[in-house]
Amino acid sequence: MTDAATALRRADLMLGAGRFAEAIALIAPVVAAEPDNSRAWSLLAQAHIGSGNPAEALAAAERAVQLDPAASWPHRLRSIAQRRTGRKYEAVQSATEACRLEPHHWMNHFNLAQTALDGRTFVYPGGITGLEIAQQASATARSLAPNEPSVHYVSGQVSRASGDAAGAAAHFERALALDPEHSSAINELGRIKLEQGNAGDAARHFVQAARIAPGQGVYGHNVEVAVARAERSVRDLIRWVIYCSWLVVIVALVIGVGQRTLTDQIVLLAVLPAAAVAVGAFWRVQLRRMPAEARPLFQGRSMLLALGVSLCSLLVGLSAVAFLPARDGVYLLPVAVLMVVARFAAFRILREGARKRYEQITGRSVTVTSSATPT
Amino acid sequence: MALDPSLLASLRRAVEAMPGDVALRLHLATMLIEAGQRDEGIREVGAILQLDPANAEALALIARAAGGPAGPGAEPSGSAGTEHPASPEHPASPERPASPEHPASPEHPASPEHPASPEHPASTGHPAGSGTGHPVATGAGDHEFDWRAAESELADVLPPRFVGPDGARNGTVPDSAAPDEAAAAGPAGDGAFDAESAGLRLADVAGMEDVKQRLEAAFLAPMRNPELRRLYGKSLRGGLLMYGPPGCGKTFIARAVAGELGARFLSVSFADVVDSMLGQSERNIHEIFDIARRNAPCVVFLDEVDAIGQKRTQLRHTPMRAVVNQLLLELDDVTGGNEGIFLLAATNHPWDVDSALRRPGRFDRTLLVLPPDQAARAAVFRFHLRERPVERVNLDKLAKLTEGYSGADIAHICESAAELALLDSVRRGEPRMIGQPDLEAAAADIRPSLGPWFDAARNVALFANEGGAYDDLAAYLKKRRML
Repeated sequence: MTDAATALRRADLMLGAGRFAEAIALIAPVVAAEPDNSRAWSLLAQAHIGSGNPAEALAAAERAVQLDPAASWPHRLRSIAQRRTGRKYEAVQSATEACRLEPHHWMNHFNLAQTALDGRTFVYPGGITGLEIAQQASATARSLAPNEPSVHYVSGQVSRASGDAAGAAAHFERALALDPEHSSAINELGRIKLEQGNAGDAARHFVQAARIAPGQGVYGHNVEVAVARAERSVRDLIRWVIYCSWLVVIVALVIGVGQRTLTDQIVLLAVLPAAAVAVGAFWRVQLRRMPAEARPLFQGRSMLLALGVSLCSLLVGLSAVAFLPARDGVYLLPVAVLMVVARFAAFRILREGARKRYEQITGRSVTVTSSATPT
Repeated sequence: MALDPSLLASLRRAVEAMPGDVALRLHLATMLIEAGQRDEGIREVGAILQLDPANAEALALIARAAGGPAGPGAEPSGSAGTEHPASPEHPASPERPASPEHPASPEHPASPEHPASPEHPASTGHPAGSGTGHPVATGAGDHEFDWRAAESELADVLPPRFVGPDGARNGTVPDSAAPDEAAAAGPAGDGAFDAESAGLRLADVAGMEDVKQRLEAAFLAPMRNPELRRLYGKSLRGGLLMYGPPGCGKTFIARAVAGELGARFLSVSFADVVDSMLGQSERNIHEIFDIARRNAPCVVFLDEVDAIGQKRTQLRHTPMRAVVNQLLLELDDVTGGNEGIFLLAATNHPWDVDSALRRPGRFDRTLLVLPPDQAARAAVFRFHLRERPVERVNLDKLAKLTEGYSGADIAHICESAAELALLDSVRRGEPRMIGQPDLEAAAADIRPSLGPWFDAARNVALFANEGGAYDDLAAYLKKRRML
């Protein structure tokens, strides 16, 4: 084996282990010494794709294509590099060319499906859309490599883009059956659950993905999004409590002034603990739905404050209605003012809490350290 | 030209009496340069430029002295740079900075006038245009800076001047950039892999008391006290996995542990193991452990063990799977019957290490190596400034300013501060020392590089802390309000 071949083989192993910088260091002297070595340029392109340098990857892939236009691998690498540099239309063309050159290689179809999915809004020659190309390519890839988890994963993504959530979930489940540690598939299942409004199940999936691949920051981020969704539902309930407390006070004023018995008073005052219990129970349900790892992320300080403010104002309002003599109805005016102020204060606290939460989630960097895409 | 010493002395006295007299100082500078006392002459010109930065005569004089292109009104003169051609009698060494007298070393890149030899290539990391490889701002005019003069002037001021007690070295640096002191002893001569004698001790590691205490309790005390170990029935099975953010001294500590045990040190990295020949990588693993057994007592240190022992589920289509299997076999062999082999490993990503490697009897103890504490940071600063011209540097203050920085970040700060001082020297036409403001400005500019690691660590502490494997990490993150 020549020195160059040895270096390239070593580089290939480095790429397999995700050590892209070391691979580039091995390949660079080879491409300098043998500028017509297509394999060296292809490996260099792959290393640059892995290390997140798509422009350099594209240059290397272009050179590899130039040197060996009949091989599908350089075309495939070029399509990946084009996709990562935002040239989605050309990426589909390169991926199609790779499929034409080697139609029996599942990876070419897998790549075409993924690339076309990215450029799904484009219309390609023959009037076919990117999504249709992706559907055909993923089906072909599945028939060529039915036991390859990545193929089922991309099929799930295509189904999801087509609006078929159930089909997508089936594909992701299949990918998981083949590779129980396919964190991307678990993450996608979580996203489907989140879209269906099931924040608890979504969080459970995201946590599982994060447990398998904690280096992928995106999973942790998704857990926080799911928790934030659950928080939002509690926040919405608190808003309803505030609206309802107003309604109760108004109704009590309209129908009950001057005719209050002890029972009326008890019933009126029972509204307060009922509201508190309702919110507490809903809160607990939301928390229980979350996996244990996600519960510490649940931030309820602003919600508790808003709830406290609104319940206090409700207490004041109900007490006034229940205990003030009918002839002292004039005192209800300051009580009403107090309730208005409390309502605005509570809503403001809730809004601020939501804003802070949003900033916290969007402000945290999402680190994606490696690509799950085979090249 | 010969210079009358009495004339020179009287001129100096006159300059001392009237330090603001530019014409007098210029005269003295001219005489000094013409007499060949260029360094002192340039110092005088520097003083003139401080008083009058646009003084054309001074600029011309400094350009003439440096042998570069003359400023306005300069007379053509012989190039000073050709006075001291490179000679093979004076090879470069770390102690002797690169100069025309001394060919460049990799640490001191060659200047355009003095190209590097094939053995000592010029740095390509910086744009060309200056002798140092750094971009040069020529705010004081179009002259070039006299590096030799600057070097010879600054050579007088070493060793570095720190504010506060500045005695002997009170700690070595827990930093990957630290000198390889352990390599001082010769290898045992075992083929491709060498078991070195480690000269470092834990006492050489500045600060990081928590880490030392945990090392002592979890690893060193049972190793050093065989009688007690037997008494308590403590097994020597298993190894220690150090993990933490990059550039925080894991490798350095591993060497120190080997030194503590008085054992030979066999460091193994992914590049040492991986081989293009089918099956050779596994054979390499076997050979490494074989050498360790022959050199017992020996510390086998697997650096970046997440690469050698990557999760096998992530290695579906690569031959590295077999390497992990071989590693597991060797570890079991070691723990089964081979006395005197101590296993240490380091990784930035313990979550990527195959879980089989962390089972009891293998790497079953973990040690979190965090960014350097204040004492360690001060030591890292001291180390990186030890061969640079510094004055009035307050290491304690710098250490306080750099909370959360890694050793590598601190090295970067020192490098940037040196660059700031260098550029300023060029601008002023007079060499000056690296001062506290340079270091503080560099520290303000450079952000800690550990953010992405802590993002991942947060995920680990939140979602992957099964069985409390990362409790120490979680406690640290909580303390720093990152959880």
